[in-house]
Amino acid sequence: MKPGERKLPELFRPGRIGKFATKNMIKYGACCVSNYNTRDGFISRRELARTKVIAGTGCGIITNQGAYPDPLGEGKAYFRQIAIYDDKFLPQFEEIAGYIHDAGAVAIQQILHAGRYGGIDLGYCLQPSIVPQTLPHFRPPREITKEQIGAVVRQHADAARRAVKAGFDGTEVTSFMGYLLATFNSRFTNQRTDEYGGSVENRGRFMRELITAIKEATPDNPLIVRLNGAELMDRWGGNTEDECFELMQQAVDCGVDMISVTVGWQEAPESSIGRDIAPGHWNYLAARAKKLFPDTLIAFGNRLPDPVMANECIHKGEFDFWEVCRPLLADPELVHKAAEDRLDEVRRCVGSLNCLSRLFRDLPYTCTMNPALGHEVEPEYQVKPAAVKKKIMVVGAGPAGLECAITAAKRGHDVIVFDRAERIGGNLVAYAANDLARVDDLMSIVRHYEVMTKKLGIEVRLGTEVTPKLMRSVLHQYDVAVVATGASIDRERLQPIEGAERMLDAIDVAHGRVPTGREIVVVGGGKIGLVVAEALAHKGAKVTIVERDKRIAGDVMPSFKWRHSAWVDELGIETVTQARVVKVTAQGVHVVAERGGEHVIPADTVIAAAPRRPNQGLFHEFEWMVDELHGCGDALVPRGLDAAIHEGFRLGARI
Amino acid sequence: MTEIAARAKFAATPGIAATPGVVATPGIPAMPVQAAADAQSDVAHWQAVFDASAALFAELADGARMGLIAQPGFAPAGRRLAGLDAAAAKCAGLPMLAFEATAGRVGVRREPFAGFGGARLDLLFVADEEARAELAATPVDATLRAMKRLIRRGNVMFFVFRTRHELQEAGYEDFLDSLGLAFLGACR
Repeated sequence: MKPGERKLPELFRPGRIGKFATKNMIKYGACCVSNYNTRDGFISRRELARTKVIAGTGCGIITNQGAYPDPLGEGKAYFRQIAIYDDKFLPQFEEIAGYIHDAGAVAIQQILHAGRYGGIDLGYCLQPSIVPQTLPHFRPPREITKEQIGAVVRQHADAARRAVKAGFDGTEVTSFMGYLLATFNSRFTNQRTDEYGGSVENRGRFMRELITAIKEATPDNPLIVRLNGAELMDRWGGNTEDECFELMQQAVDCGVDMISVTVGWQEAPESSIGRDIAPGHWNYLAARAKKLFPDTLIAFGNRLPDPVMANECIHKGEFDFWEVCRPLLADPELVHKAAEDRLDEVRRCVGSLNCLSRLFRDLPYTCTMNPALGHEVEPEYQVKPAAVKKKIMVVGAGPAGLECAITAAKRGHDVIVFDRAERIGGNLVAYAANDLARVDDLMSIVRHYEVMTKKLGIEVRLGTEVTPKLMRSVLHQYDVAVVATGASIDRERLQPIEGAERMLDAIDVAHGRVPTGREIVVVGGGKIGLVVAEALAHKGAKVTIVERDKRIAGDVMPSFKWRHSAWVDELGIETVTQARVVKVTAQGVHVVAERGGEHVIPADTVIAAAPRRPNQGLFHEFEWMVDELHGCGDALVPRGLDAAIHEGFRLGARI
Repeated sequence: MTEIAARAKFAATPGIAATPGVVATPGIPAMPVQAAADAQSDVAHWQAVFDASAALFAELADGARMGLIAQPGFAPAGRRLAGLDAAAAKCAGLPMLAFEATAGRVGVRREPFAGFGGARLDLLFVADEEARAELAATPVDATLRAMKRLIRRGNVMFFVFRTRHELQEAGYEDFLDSLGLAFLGACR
């Protein structure tokens, strides 16, 4: 037994689903589809490479991503979702089942008919009743007929049979998020007056038929159903939590082998898995399910990214299997690190929802924390021993510099990091300190870098500003210099503003280096301006944001814009858009609207949060001093955390 | 020609006259004088809201249409609003405020809600009792912000009848963004 397994005995004890033994109590959940595949449902080489990594995560059960079961594509939610409606798809499913079995895990194939969110290529979607969309991304609804219901049930059964034929041990259907099964179960979307609508009993009929058909088609193989413990749609006429559990009871009575308890619909008006939800927040739903259905396996993992907490929950009897997906996208080694008592090395999922932001733009998903995700098939993203060992100096201990340093060090290079600050993390530390969602999420990135620099023996010289003079004295020692000095507020471009010298720098404010007053104007409504404005308003200041563009939050990830928008409202922050600052005085800020007209916003503090410029000074200075000179992250073009981590990684992997 | 543009051709029906005590819109059941007066003030209130926020709707194509249903007692059992079509059928001509863009201005009028299929809407807002009261009591310049808050709180339901691209083409992006509504999927 490995040391971490002794510390987390509940998580790492063997288990069982149906006739299949599992090596531990961890289930990889098919949290969303990757969009890496072909437009006609075939699995790509890119997907196979990614799935091989997933298969090797060390989970006892691996659920392969959802495949749509119908030839028309009414169940297809994403342009590049995989299909399982025909035997022509079998070879690659066989390959995936093989990967999973080779890794010693039980292989489950999810069958995903997206219902309300389906028909992505068709221009319509199928629902029990015509309830219009609340999100414009999705297709207008058509009411499913009884004949179509029968056909869909048969398609699911055929898909299950096909999955087992391909070598999978069992299947899973999902009522998560508002997919077809969910729309039958929910009062929000099921307004039918026939035997499939009305009472909970009737609304659950489709699910019971589905379970029965799949069980008949694959009697020796376990079937898992993902069911909402809470839809978070009750305010809009959806199911109450009690009704959700009544539906679970029906699934149990039909002989389902495992219930995966989930939370929320895509269109729910509140968060379920974002950074603003505390880990463990939804555990009570799993505990209720386990209490009600002690003889049925319960899997759970929504906003439960921590294996220590999961182990404790299993110990308390709150669920049987820890179902985990996104944390394993962020760090595919998570389970192995937990088993080896190396949890301090884990790259935590920070809940940025970058993955889903991209998915809903019909792009393949990527991960803020794991640059290699989706690139497993590309040699450029593989961390391999360097052909020639080099001595590398990295200037800047922010995410870009440290990511580069760690990746290069893993390849065998000798790396030293310099930073003029007294701690690592760069401006991410300031950003995290002002983040109203969860400070701990972003600070986990800094802690990860602290641990990894120590473990990899990377020397970090803090409080050391790298200047051309210093460089001249040490340049003979290095083969490579990396400039990762980030970005700063471009004060030169603020010069046309009369009284610009009165403006504070948003980064100084975020670091807490300068005091601020009670009546504040923040110039720039991008993510830096918003975070600073929100933090100051949260502390009680009256804050106004002035933005030149039509809208604020232009550089914020799509899945988090709503969050800033809500905070701006809740905190009473005024926003003045399509306006530019022309003068700053002791009394306030003179603003000219794009369509003309000047007015004064009273302020005792004015903060410049835009525009930004890359800190490229050293790049030019060093050009003739060192053989190999690179820049990365915001020092090249100011963007943000994703670009910093990804560029740092790519550079570290190729030096 | 888009469907929205085509609609503009037959969208010239004038709004009801602002005469207290008169229920002039065909298809709407007769109302008590006070209710009719409330209805008139609703029209005037929302017209002022749209006029005050004209920049937000400046890019709306002619014929772009939104609806607001905010009827006392319409949201039975709290907020069980999903049966809107069934409720609309039962109410046979449930009053709705229609907001329609014509020649650069959003006009407001009352008309009977003809169900999801017949209302010829791009967007529909359905307010429960709490939202109705709050919206009615909110000053013109704060109404859209109140709407945003009420949507977030779940007091106002919001339906779309057009795809993202159609809504973008019809000039809704600024308005939807101002309400904090996810233009794409919103897995949170």
